[in-house]
Order: sequence, then C-alpha cells, then structure tokens
Amino acid sequence: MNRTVKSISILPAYRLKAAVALAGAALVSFSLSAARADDLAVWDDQTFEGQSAVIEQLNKDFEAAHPGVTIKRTARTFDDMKLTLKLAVSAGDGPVITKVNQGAGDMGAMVKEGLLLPVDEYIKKYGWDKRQSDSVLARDRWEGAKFGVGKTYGISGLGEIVGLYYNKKILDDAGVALPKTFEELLADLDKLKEKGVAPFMMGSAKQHLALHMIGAIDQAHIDAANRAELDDLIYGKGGSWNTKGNIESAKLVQKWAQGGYFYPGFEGISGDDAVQLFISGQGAFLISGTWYFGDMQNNPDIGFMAIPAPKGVAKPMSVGGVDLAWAITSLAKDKAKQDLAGEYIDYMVSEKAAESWAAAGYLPATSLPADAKPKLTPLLTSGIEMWKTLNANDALGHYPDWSSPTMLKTIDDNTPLLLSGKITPEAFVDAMDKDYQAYLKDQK
Amino acid sequence: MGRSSNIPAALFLRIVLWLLAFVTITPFLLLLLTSIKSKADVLKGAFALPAYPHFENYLDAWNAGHFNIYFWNSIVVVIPVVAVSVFLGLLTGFAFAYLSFPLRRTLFAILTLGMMVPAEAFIIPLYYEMRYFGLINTYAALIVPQIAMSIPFSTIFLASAMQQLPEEVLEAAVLDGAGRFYILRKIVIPLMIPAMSTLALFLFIWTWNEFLIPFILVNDDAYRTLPLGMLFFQGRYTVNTPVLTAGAVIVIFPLILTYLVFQRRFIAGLTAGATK
Repeated sequence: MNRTVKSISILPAYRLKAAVALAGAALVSFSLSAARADDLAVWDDQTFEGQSAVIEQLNKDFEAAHPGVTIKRTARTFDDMKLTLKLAVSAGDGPVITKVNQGAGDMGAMVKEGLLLPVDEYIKKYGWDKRQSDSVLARDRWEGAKFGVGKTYGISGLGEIVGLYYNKKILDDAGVALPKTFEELLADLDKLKEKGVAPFMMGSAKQHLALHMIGAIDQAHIDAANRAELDDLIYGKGGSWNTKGNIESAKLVQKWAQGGYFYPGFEGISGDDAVQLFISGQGAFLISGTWYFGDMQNNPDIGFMAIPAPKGVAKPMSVGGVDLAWAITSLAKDKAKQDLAGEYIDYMVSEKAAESWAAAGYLPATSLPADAKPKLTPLLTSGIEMWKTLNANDALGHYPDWSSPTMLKTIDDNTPLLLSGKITPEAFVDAMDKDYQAYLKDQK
Repeated sequence: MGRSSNIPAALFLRIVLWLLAFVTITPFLLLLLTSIKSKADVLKGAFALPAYPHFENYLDAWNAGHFNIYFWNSIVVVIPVVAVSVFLGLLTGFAFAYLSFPLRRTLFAILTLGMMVPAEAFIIPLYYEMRYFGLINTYAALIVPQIAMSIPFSTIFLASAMQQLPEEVLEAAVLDGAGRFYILRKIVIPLMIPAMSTLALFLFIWTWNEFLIPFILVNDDAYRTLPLGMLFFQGRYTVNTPVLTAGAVIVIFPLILTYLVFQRRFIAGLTAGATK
C-alpha cells in the first residue's frame, strides 16, 4: 500500500470533547538475534499447503537426527524467490541452502556472480547420480554462460512430466478406447466431437495449458535417440525453433482451436479453472503436468498417460523436468557449514524424502526404495511408472520457455493470436525463433 | 431533512445511497461466501451457495498460513507505527500549521515528495541501509521504515486539519499568555481527536496491509506479518481459492472491526460543527 493522500476534507470540529488517549506504544523489544553457528537458514518454494506440510515434516526429522541444528525456514513463492534470492545472498543475509530456479535468469546469473557453490563433491560422496539420471542432473550444470555442461550447482527433489489426462467415464460413454498411438488419438478426437463431447478441455486466458500442449505434441514426435537437437536449443548452444515438427504442432493446435475441438469459451477461461472444469467432468482429454495430481485425484475417473507416440517413434519424449533445485549458496562460509548443507540436501533427495513426497501425492525425482509401500493414488502410480520409463529411455524433454529468459512471455503473447487464427503457425514459430536468435546473439 | 417539498429529492438521494452501499458491500459478501465453499463449489458460479458451509477453510488458513505467528507480528508492528506516527505528526503538523521557521516551504516540499515516491523505488537502497545498521530480520526493520513512510502523510493531514481550527480560540489563548505546549496540549489536541482517529485508522489500514517492507526486509519466518501468510495458498501452478479467501477474511477482519469501533468517532468528527 502506498501512503498517499486520498482527498479527504476534514470539517472543523468546534466542540471540545473528552480527550481519549491513544493506545500507548507497546513495548517492543528489538531483539538483535545473532545467528548461531548451527543455525541453518533454508529458503524453499514449497508454499502450497500440502507441499509446505511435507517440507516442515522433513525439516523436523532432520533436526531430530542432528541435535543442535536449527533450521530457519523461509518459504517464498516461485515469483517471490526470483525477486529476492539474489539480493539477499549478495547482501549476505540470505539462506545457506536455497531452492533456485534453473535457467539463465536465476541459477545461471547466480553462478556467474559466484553466489552458488558446486555440489559435485556431494554427488560423489552420496551417490546422487545413482538416484537420478544424468539428463536430469544436466539441468543444474553451468560453465560460464553455457547451460547443461560443467560443474553441477544443484539437485531437485521433485519431477514433473507433461502428459495426457483422460476421463475414462466420458471415453467409455462415447465408446472410445484409450489411444495407443498418436493416430488413434486423432481418430478419438473426431469421434468425440461427433458425439458432441468437448474432446479437449482448454483454458488459454491465463497460465500455460496451450504452451504445454504445443510443446508436448511436438516432443512426442521426437525419438529420444535424436534428442541432441532439442537439448542444444534449450542449453543455448544454438539451433532453431523453426522446425517442421514445431510448425506441424502449431498447425494442429490451431486446427483444434478453430474446429471446435476445445471446450467452448476456452479463450476466456484460465488454465486453473479449466483444470477444475475437467475434474468436474467437462472434457475427455486435457494436456498438462503432474503438478495437478493433487487436484485431479478428486475425480476417480481421471487417469494419466504419456502422449501416445506416432508410428515409427520408439522412445517418444515427454515435456517435463524437475522442480527448482536445492543449492548451496556462497554464505556457507566454512567447510563444516558446507558439509552440513550437503547433508541436508542429501536428506531432501533421499529415498525416505521421496516416500514422504509420494505419500502426499507428489512425484519424487528420486526413485522410491524397493521396499516402499506408501499408499499411492492410481494417478501417482502411473506418474511414477512414466518417470521411470522416461529416465531409463533418457526421454525426459524440456519446457520450451527455458530456452531464453524472455521466451515465456513471447510464447504467452503469441499463443492467443495463434489459437484465434490471427497469425499463421509459421508466424508463431517464427516469433519464438526470433526471440531465441536474439538471445543467442546477446550471449556471444 | 428540509421542507416537505424536498421529499421526492430526499427519497431519490436515499435510494442512490442505498444502491451505493449495496454495490460497496457485495464484493465483501462474495468474499465471505467464497471462503465457506469447497473447491468444487467455486466452479458452480460466484453466487451459488455451497451444500454446507466449509468452516474448515478457516482452520486450514490459520494453520497452513503460519497465521498464528504472523498475526502477533502484525500487532507488534502496527501499534508502535500508528502511535509514534500520529504523535510525531502532531508535532510536525503543529509546526507547519502555526509556526514560521527557516526553510519552511522547502521542507514542506520535501515532505510531499516523500509521499509521492513509491516504496518500490527506494526498497533496495533501504535494504542496504537497514543491513548496514544490522536491522535486517528484526522488528525494527518493519517498524522504523514504516514510521518514516507515515510521517509525511501524518504531517500534512494534521497540519491541514489544524489550519481549519477557528483562529479566535487560538488568538484568545495567545493573548492570555499561554505557551506553545499549553496550546497544543489543552486546545489543539482535544479539538484534533476526530482528525487523529481518522489518521490512526488510515495508518492502521496501510501498515496492516503492507506487503513489500516485510517481504524484502525480513526473511526470517519469525518476523513475518499477515499479508505474507497469503503466499501459502498459491502454488506455482495452483491456487486454493476458498482457503485463500478465508485467509483474506482473517486478514481484513481486524481492519473491519477497527473501522466499526472507530466509525462513530469518525463520523462524529466529520459532522461535528456542521450545524451552527
């Protein structure tokens, strides 16, 4: 709130009134608490209720296992983290351990300024590379401005996959079988449309359902054997978004938007609301990520699968990634503090922590212990299966918006134009590529 | 009201006022209604009633939003900020209203400037300044800057209110040989009570709702204030709307309560002396 004058006219008060003393100033103790040697300042981004509860439990367990260590937790939302983390660490008041967003704007910038310490030593010491695949760890590697190579600066606790949510009941009622190939999916959509059911739930007013749809369809057409081109794009090594696959995906999505394959009125519905409508049984399919598991499990008819692969693609890729990475900041001044931080992060990506996340309905990036018996929701069971397969196939794809600091905005600005037919699919892909090439030029 | 010929006009005015009141209060009622819905109820439309009231949203908000810590922090911050700002505003307002001193105009201009500059513009230098004094992560970091931010408004508000006072009263006091402090204590302050309560109310609302200062200057959970508790109902991809609104109701409840308590004095202050 800004303290500005709202035009108020105060009429004069002519009558004397009994004076009423204002509440006396409360005695406020300005405590200047000195940080103790075994305080561990940790920032995380798990603000959402369910996630926050898991983190608080894990922190309690860690404190119990390390008498004398006090974890000072601060939770910040994703956007807030972006705003404050660099400032606090560079000023020296920030966290010793933090979650940090991968990408040029956040982790890359902090590495460049020497605000993060490499964690390779701890990867070796604790064997994190046995728990998570190399292509996942590559997302935390930086060498100068190069992304995806060099030293590792973090590790994530949660995985994310973009896939196909379906409502089994609606499919059965329409006499449509679950699609096994991409071609079958297209046939299903036509059948559903004939029956007067909205094939896809969609909301493009806010959030990124359309972006994830375009990316997911494009990457399902890429075999993991040929992933190098996509990796190079994301890791800023060069290449072009102007590919046949991207144009085809944009064309398809535009055709769906124009041809009545989306829920009517989708332009005015936010992504979050579209998900809620889908849960209430208003659409047959929805393409989005595993982060909606918590909401989706409220409807037992809803299942989750990978986007079915087109014929001839053996190991299709899925858009996805990991949540923000746990990292050690330059505020871990001495070896003892660094090792304690390493130990904390190890605990956060341990099999035990993975169990806690799974029990709460979230997809852990670390595989669950073989003897784990948490009661998993059917959704999470299929999510974990997909995560295993993707890691085994090295087929975990990327969010297109990771490729440049401004890409998310460029895509968000152009998606509504694409869906409403104001620009051609070629122009849409062109806008993405222009953004990307400008970023590459900046890097040189 | 006036003479009988004015009845239709008065009635019309009354209808307009009722309409305005309705338009003002509807969003609040919607907020209350949303806060007792389930997530599924929210989609049924803004005015649809839930099957049964979900008061557990309030418990969720209180527990998940760390409100038990933040609520007391808000109290600890708001009381000194309001009390000190009103007190200092009285002194500075008195000076600008009645005294002539060097650089009076310049100082007044600087004060108004202090009111124009948004907090976003000085938050980073302020952060480093607070850090230099070792005040990051203390109550002082929340209280001192907010007092500073309130002083320009308090001064200008109270100075303009004091200038409205009838000069005869003050002149009589001066002729009787009363000193400045005596005039301030015995004459100005009693007449200023309504203006001061109005000011206190504004400062209370602004301080209570301040987000940026606690957000940037404090990163230790133990010192955070209520508006920051709202973070816990927004994930990166999802928002728990009913619980978020329940949290909002908890946050604004003290404001509404304060307003209701103060409003009689507030209205009295606005209308006192209107009838000669």
